Amino acid sequence: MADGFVIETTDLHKRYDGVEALRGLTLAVPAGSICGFLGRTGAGKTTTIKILLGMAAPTSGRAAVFGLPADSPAASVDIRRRTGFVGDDKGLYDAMTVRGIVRHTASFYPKWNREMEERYLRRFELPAERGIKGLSRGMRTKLAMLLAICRGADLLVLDEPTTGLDPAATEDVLQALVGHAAEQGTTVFFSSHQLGDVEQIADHVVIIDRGRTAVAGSLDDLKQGYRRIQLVFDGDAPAYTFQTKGVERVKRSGRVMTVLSSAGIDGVLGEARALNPVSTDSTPVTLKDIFLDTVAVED
Amino acid sequence: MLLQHAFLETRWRFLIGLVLLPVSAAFVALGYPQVAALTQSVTPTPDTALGRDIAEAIEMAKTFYSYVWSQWFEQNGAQLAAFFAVIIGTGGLLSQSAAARLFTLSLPVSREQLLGARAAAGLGQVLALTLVPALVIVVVSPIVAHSFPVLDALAYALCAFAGCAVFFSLAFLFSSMFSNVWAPVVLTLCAGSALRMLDTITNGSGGFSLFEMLHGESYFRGHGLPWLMLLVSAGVSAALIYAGIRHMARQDF
Repeated sequence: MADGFVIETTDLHKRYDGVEALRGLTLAVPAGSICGFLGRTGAGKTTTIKILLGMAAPTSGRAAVFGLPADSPAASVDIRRRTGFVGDDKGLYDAMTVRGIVRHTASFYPKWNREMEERYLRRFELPAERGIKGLSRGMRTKLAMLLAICRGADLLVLDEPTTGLDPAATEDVLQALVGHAAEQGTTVFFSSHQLGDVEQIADHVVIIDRGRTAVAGSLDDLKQGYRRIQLVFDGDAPAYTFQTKGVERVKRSGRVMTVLSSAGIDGVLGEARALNPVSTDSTPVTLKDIFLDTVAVED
Repeated sequence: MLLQHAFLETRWRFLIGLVLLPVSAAFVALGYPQVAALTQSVTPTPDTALGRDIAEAIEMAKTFYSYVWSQWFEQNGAQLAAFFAVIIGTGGLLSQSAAARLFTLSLPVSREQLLGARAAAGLGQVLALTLVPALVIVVVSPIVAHSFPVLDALAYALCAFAGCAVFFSLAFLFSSMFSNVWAPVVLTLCAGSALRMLDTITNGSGGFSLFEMLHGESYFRGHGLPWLMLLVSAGVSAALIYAGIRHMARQDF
């Protein structure tokens, strides 16, 4: 594991039937972090997760988990032995009971925690003898979480863990996740469309767009560093290309120029003085702002 | 646990077969007195194809041993066992729901282990479906005041297993290529029909007939077990299963 990163990808490419799902994705997830993995539908989140867990092979580039190459079948077994996974459909074996799939899954993990299993069965109010087919989506998600958590994993990889859950179930799942990560020091890498969930529990964020990393870093640093700077001019805002590092996006609308900077405001304001704005203003941004500004507006 | 899960996946198909085949085998054995009585009252005219078939059936029914072989090991039992081998061979990873498949693939086992366990469980079920009915015949024969040698029953079961294993393996290979549950069944049955036609056209495929081996024909004719064909079948089955595993190991999910 290089430099304390549990997950690392470098220039990762994946092409499916002529479609480029990943186009040089580079990311690093620090050990012990809770990392939110954001992107629009089709951005490559699930493909990345599949490559990390050996379910798909990269076309080129490098993906490593715990320092092990994810595209090596033997190493991939070791990776999965230390990783808990919850898929986006929360698919399990419908023919089994809750107890049955718990026993089935436990048999693959020598470090399976029986005490934790019982604790989460009670906490999630999972009916041990009920068939999985009869479980609601919320119950399935909780069961999938239990199966991922109790195996003693060093890493949890969760693909849209709270999609389709009601607010109470979402809160249950998120609290369980945070509690477990804090208690066990487990690294959590979870993809989500729920920016509120990410903001609530993540300390790191990776935003990808069209198969490439758009933004990555600690959530606090991002919130500190990202600023929206509004410049108002006498006439129409000038067409101008900022040279200052960290300018992510510039939008002009009439007399107003809005600059999204990932490196604070000083550099932008210094450069903007030459444009003679009549007023300047800067505001902090939310994760949603960062996401929308870096990803969603590119159409 | 992998074996158990693989067993559970096909348990209903297996259990239906495990009821149907032994019951059918018992009916064949227990029906001998009626058949024997019936054949004495029939005089076939061997100048037509149908007449020749009837004459051959009557000839076979002259002894309990040849009757059981022709009715069960050559016909009903062989066909039923081969059919169940095909449907047990179908399924697996690709036919699981996409989400259940990802859960399976997230377990810390290689795809070779997953599919190897499925092949082992399936072959175990096919073995049971060929062996149990043969032993049922041995057990119920005294009820109609006849006997069927255990060793012969085992010999026929071995031949049937080797033949059915080829069909199982072919369905297993097709199941690694098609997510549709029915495509492997249809393709395997088509392949079986093509082999059958080849057998008919070449009058036994030059001594390398899969069906003659599956029926234990050479054993019945007193030529002993068809060791060469048993080995060839085992080799073909192993190759088909290996190809299925390799194909699945390279796939993206």
